[in-house]
Amino acid sequence: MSDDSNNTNLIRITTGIAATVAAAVALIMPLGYFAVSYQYMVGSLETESEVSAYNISKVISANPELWRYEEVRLEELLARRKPGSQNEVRRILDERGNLVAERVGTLTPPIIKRSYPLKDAGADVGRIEISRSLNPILIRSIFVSFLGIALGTTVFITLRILPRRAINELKHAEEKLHRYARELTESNEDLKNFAYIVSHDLRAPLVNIKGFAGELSAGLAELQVLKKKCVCRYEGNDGERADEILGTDVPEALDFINSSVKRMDALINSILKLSRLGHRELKPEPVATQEMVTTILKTLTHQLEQHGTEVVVGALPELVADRTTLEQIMGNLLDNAVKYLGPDRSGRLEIFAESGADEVVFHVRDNGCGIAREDIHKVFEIFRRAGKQDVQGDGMGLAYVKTLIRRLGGRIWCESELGSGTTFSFSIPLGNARAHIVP
Amino acid sequence: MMDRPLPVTILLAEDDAGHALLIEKNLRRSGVSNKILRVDNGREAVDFLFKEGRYAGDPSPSPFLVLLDLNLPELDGGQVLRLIKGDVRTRHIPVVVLTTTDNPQEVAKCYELGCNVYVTKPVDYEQFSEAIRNLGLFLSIVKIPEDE
Ligand SMILES: Nc1ncnc2c1ncn2[C@@H]1O[C@H](COP(=O)(O)OP(=O)(O)OP(=O)(O)O)[C@@H](O)[C@H]1O
Ligand SMILES: [Mg+2]
Repeated sequence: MSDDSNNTNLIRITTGIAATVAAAVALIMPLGYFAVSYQYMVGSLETESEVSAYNISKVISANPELWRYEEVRLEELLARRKPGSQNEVRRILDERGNLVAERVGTLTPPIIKRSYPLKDAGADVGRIEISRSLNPILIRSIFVSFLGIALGTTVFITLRILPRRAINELKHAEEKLHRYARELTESNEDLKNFAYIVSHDLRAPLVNIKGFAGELSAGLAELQVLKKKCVCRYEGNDGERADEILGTDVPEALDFINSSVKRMDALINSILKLSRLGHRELKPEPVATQEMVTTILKTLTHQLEQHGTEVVVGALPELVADRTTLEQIMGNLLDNAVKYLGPDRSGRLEIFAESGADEVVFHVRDNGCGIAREDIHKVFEIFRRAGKQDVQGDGMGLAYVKTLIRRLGGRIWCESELGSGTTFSFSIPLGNARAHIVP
Repeated sequence: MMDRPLPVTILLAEDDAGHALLIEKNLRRSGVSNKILRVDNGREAVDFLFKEGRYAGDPSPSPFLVLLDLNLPELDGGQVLRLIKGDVRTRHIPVVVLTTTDNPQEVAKCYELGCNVYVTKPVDYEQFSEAIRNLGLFLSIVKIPEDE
């Protein structure tokens, strides 16, 4: 809402600016044109009269007494002019103001007049007067003012439209972003609900499969008892076959059903757990990660000794973050590091951290069996395992870790070389409510 | 004591026929010999309890107990529970929620709505039958609330 009022404000301001600029253009263009042309005309009138006065002075000094009677020569002089200045009137007047010679033309008012004194041996003997009409300038100024108005209008429209466009573009971009954000939250919600629904709805049929398999077992047991008590109706091969079915085949089938259901149940529980991790409330508290890592390593002592592992723990920071989350992240990474050390060489484990301004990056490095390049992205997916399946695992650990780290706002990545070792690194962003370094 | 039939009906609201059968079998094994009436959707459960719809004017007695699945069509278990516990006529009926979910939020919500016992149906059949048998034992020692 306040965005909208900001925008209308902005539009008002830009409209104001556009109007001012447009008006200025429309006014200044004709006025400027007029002022410059007028100035130019006055200047040229002055020079013209000066030049004419000089030429006439020559006639005067040649004949100082009688010059005023040499009308023909004077008029000839007056007629000599620069091309393009036809529309003017030139007059020669004597010192008393009487007309001596004249070159006429038609002049429409308003008229501008300039004169220059005629001299003979330093004394004024008359003056030359040139008049021109201002009309052409005025007409051109009007024309220019039309141009100015047109230009001003264009400027106004442009200045008004451009910011509006920009604002609209911005609005669109913003709306798009909002929509993406909304879609993201929705699909996130969907995903959470999906996991929940899947695990709930998948369980119901499992209860039946397992339940009726149980009923079958119970029925079978009862049958065996009954069989012992009563005389068997089958004889010879048929009897053996019947014994085989009841004693081996059916129980075997039931075992498969039971173990598959158990496995399925475990998988469903894993999905459920993963979906719950996304909901769990985080409680940030100070955590000495160094101590935490040491404690976790203690629980792995047995496995570490088995591999003759050397463990190096660098200086790890004290963070304010959710303790359980950090514990689970570290626990899973360390568990994997030890689990996948490989039997053929003595192990080496390094845990270290780099504290930057806005995040801490933890590294867990081992010299174990490594992960093939094409498998690296897979290992973070739920139920996915890589390489030789010679150690027991569910393929859940890294999926949990990834979810947990994402909840803390960080990310996880992995560098590995098949056969020589793996480094898992994860970042925890600092300076927000979720995590920061204890000073 | 266990073989003494209680003169009241158990209403089992369960949409999964398999679950219903397994529940019934295990209740019988634990010695519960009451009449068990099964409905497979929430609407019918409510109709039965309030003697509405196709149960209108039905003289059958109020059930002693309701066994309620949460994942029911038409009206889900939560809604049924809310209706039962929100009406003076049915408020006294003990409700046992019996469902596959063990989501703590769901459990808490049910207790908030007034469910008396919450039992998760474990996938493991041993545990399942044990849970139902325990429930049966519980049913046979619990006192029958007076109908008002
Ligand atoms: N440090 C490591 N070195 C080599 N391979 C690894 C390492 N950590 C993980 N992996 C590979 O990634 C796969 C996935 O690991 P993840 O922790 O998700 O599952 P898991 O260890 O198999 O089972 P779980 O942790 O659920 O018991 C493992 O099966 C293994 O192949
Ligand atoms: Mg693991």
